[in-house]
Amino acid sequence: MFNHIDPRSPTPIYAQIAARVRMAVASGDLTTGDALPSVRALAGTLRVNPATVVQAYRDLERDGVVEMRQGSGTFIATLSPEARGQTREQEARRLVRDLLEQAARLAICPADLRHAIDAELGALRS
Amino acid sequence: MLTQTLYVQWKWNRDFLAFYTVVAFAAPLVILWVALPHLGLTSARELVSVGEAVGTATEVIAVLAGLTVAWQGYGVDERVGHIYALSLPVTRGRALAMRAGTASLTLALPAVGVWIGAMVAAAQVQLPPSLHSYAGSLASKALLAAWLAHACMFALCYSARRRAKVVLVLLIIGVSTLAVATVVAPSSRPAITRAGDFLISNPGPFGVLFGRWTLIDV
Amino acid sequence: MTHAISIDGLAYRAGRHFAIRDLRMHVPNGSVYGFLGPNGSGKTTTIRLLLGMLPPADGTIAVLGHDVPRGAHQALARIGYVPERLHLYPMLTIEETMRHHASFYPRWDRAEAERLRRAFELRAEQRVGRLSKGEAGKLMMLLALAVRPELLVLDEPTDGLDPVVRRDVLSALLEYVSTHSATVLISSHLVHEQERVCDWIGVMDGGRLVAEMPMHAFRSGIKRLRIAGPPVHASPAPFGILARRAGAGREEEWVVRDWRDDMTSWFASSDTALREVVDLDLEESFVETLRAARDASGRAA
Repeated sequence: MFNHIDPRSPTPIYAQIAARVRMAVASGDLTTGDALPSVRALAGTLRVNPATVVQAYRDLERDGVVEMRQGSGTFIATLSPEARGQTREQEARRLVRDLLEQAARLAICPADLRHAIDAELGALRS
Repeated sequence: MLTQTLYVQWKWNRDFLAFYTVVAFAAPLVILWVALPHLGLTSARELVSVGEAVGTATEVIAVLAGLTVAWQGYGVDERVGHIYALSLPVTRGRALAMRAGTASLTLALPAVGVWIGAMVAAAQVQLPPSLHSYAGSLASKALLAAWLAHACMFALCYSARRRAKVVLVLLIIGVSTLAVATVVAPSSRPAITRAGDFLISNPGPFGVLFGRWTLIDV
Repeated sequence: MTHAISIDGLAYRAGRHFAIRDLRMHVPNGSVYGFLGPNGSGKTTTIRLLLGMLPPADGTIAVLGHDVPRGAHQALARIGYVPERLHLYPMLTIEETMRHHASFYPRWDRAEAERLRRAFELRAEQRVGRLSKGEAGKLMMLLALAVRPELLVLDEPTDGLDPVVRRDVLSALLEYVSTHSATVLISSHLVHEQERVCDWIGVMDGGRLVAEMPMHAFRSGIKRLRIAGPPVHASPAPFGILARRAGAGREEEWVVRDWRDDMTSWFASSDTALREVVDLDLEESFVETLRAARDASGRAA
């Protein structure tokens, strides 16, 4: 789940970690009560600064995706199906926001972008 | 800390120490074995000269042992660039004291070799009532000489290179000046020779090296 | 004591010239501080100076609250050090080395040392002199971590190690940092590794620290801008310009620092099209910072 963390990407590492968790929750890979790796284990596995992992988990806790229990670890919070759907929608909007930012940098206007999206979706269907 | 330093010193030097201990033990026996068949009826004078030969051999072995142990110990640090020793949480003074102290302790081994070898050698000979064997005294001299040689080499190795060079140069200049002075100004000769005598004979610092080394004596 | 390491006005001479001149460095407590710089910039010398191994010509050094080199031996009891090259006695076995090392450090954790030894797959009876580079690297990290240090000083800890060993060594380091409040100073030219692990960065060049700031500020602030042409009117730019280069056709390429996204408005007002804002990774940011620092000192000289 946590492979392909790219330190060179403009997205900060903590955001990438948090995004992975959100996507796993949205797709159902992680459900209520599942335990996330400890800060120590994840920092060691990913070879990133532990403060980065802490920041990711705190971010997720603030958005109600996980709860950090003192002494036990970090667990996926109780999420209703609506909440999970909401998470899915949030993730989708996040993806689109990244896409729009990138497009803006390459000076691609929203109209051209929408055209491209339709074209790609069409290719996907056929 | 001290135990570990001793252990490491021992591990570094055990081959040399073993060698010198064996040689120190064997030397009196070998010398006696070589000398005795040729002496026939052994006179007191001839026994004493054999004893002196043992003494000289022992002195050389002791000094070499001291120099070797100091040189070897320094060599190990030199090979790793002294980084490890410098990174340990002890003051430089304490580190050097532990080093020198434990190395000196290991030099007790060759001295024990001398003691036992000399005792065994002396026991092979029928000593006339006027002569005695001084195995113990020989062994303690060996220990002191080894310590002295070790201390000199240790100080030379571990002093900052520039300082060591300066000390050596000053020493050479000093001795040369004194030597020249005895020729140029004959009146200074007695004072200088007296100072020299003090240094090299007991109880001066280098006394142990220049004193009388013999196993068998009156 | 807010800084684990505080260096001010440090100078050191190697032979005739000053290897370190007027170095000012402050490593915040609890940070993972990346020490970057080209070869010969004085990183190893600085590390030796702050550990009290070399006498400074001028300046002050304070490490974990102790004055160095006077109180170095006190600070060293709480420091885990991994030097550039194997510094351990070659004729000792791994077990003997660990025992010797343990006797000097009151905080040595024997159980943890054993656990790391097994995790690193090091055999107790192996001779240090016969270890491979990877095994030596692991042993040095083991010794540094088992001391339970408050400060870790690592000089190229993963240089020359194969990827598997590098992973093991870094993981052990980061697991330790996660569970103990410790400060880490890593000197490395493996920029991509520094990027994922460090939250502070100090860039060294020519015996001086030319940049020192939190990692995110260093990275996010430095951008490469692709501009349609030179700006029509030059009102002072809100960002710092590290370099201006010619691009394709009439285009120009600017490397800037202290950039914020709202600064695109400056280009709008100066009637110049800003074509692209490119994020630079740590390596590129580092190279550009160095180039700019060298140009500046060249111009000043």
